[in-house]
Amino acid sequence: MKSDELKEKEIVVRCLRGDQDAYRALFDHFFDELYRTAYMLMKSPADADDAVQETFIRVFQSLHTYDLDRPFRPWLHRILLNVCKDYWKRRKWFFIPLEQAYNVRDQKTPLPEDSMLQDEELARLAQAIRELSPKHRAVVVLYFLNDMRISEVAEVVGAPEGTVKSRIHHAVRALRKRLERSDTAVYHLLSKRGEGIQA
Amino acid sequence: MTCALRRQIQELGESVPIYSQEGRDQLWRNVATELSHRQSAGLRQRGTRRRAMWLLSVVACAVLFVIGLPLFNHGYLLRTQMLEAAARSDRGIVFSSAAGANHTGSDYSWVAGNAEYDLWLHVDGMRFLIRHKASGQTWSTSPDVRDARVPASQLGRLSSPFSIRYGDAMGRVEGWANPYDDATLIEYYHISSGIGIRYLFEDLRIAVRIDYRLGDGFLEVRIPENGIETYGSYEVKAIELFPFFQVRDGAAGNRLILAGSGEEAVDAALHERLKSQVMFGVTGDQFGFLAEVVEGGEYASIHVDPSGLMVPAQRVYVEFLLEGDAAHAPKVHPTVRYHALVEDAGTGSVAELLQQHLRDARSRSRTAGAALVAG
Repeated sequence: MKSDELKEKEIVVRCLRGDQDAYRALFDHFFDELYRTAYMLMKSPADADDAVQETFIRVFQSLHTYDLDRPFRPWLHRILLNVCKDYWKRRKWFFIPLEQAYNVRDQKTPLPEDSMLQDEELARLAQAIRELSPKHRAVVVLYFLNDMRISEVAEVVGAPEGTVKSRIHHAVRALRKRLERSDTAVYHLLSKRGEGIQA
Repeated sequence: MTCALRRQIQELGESVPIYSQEGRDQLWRNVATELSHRQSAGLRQRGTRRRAMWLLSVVACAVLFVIGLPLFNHGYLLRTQMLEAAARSDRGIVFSSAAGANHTGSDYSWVAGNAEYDLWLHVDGMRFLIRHKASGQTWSTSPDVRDARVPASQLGRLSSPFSIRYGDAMGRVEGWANPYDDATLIEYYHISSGIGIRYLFEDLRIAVRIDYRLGDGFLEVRIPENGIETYGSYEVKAIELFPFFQVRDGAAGNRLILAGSGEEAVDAALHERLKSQVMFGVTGDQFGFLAEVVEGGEYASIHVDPSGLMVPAQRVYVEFLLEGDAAHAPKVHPTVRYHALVEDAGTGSVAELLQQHLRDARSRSRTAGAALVAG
């Protein structure tokens, strides 16, 4: 068992013993990872916020059901994925005019996408990932972003390892296609926002 | 490609703007507040659920009680106590054919017993035997048809513990039925010191429940509350109980009824006047019984039949009218006690029982002052 895993287990055990500080420690320990994952899985930063909050609430509510003999991260990400699925079900249609989004956002905290758009290549990639189907998006984010093993991804998504490998294969192929043809598409998409991105 | 993709995606992840410590604190407060709110809501919900469950269980109990009590009273819930079960409860007492009657032990099941008497039931559910333990003397509620010299048409009445007179409400159809002649489903249920039997006349859709209980020297026969159920178009107009109690082929004896002032009971004209009488019986040298109508006497009619061609037996029995006033009378539970006259079935025993009965009757504010009439 890695030292990280030991540390995670230790925090969980403290939580189970009722240590209030351990809850905050667990929150801090996993916040960044969960937030990044949620950000990639959801289609808006606000939804990512909500998803992470909801995930931590569910984790704390059901921590007593966690099996200490099993790794904690997959269990945690599985809850996050379930939360995201709930959101997807509730919001099959998602559309916010960008102008409105800019208006409601505090100018001091720039839209996360802004920083991404500074790197055209990353922006194209982000767009391509968001265009993937939820199943493919989940395995890509878990496998590549969170650097999980196939077995861990399989545990999170609740599918056999072979299925996960297959999904990753198809997802990579779909990403490649999208990235190849997105040169112009991304340009048009971004130029619509009036950012004046140079192709 | 995959490695490059991994690197790019991780770069993408790194570029995701992460909350500052302040923003993170705010999110943590949100989580803690929401968690606390949900926990208290959950507690409230659990409390509400518990109250709802409690209420539901109370309602369920009430419904079960409301449904179950009539079923219990009707004996539905006790039907498992079938005759086989009654037979299993036999405590090893083997009925002796030498006890005074021509019965074989295998045909009877022991039902109840006390210090002096045993009560046995024939496997066909029609006939009871009361056996005095000390003397071995027995009383039969109907004669053994194997030895009875009666026409086939009378076998049913002779073998049945009761007969009913039924008819439709308009009075267009009327007839007699008994469990021997008519298709009857017999079910048994346990009662204290005896056995209950439910006779369901399948064609007539009439059910009659009778409790047979062994008392101190007597067999009590009672139609309990809701003991007569009708499911079809027919209603029970009258029921005669044990019309051949203790009848023996060719046996001589005196028929007793509690009548007015020395009139002959065999006089047909007397029948109407006998309706209010509540005690009757048969006495002989070595056998006899005295029956006492404990409840429903006002609707009882005592019949006294001399030995004849159709039924070559002297007999006296009770019939309860269940139509007219009786149909509207509140809670009439016809009850008759058949007292066994042991060894001394003469006047002394009868007088003693009669005195006791009169004392009881007086205490029940019934008309007394009757006389013993010997037929």
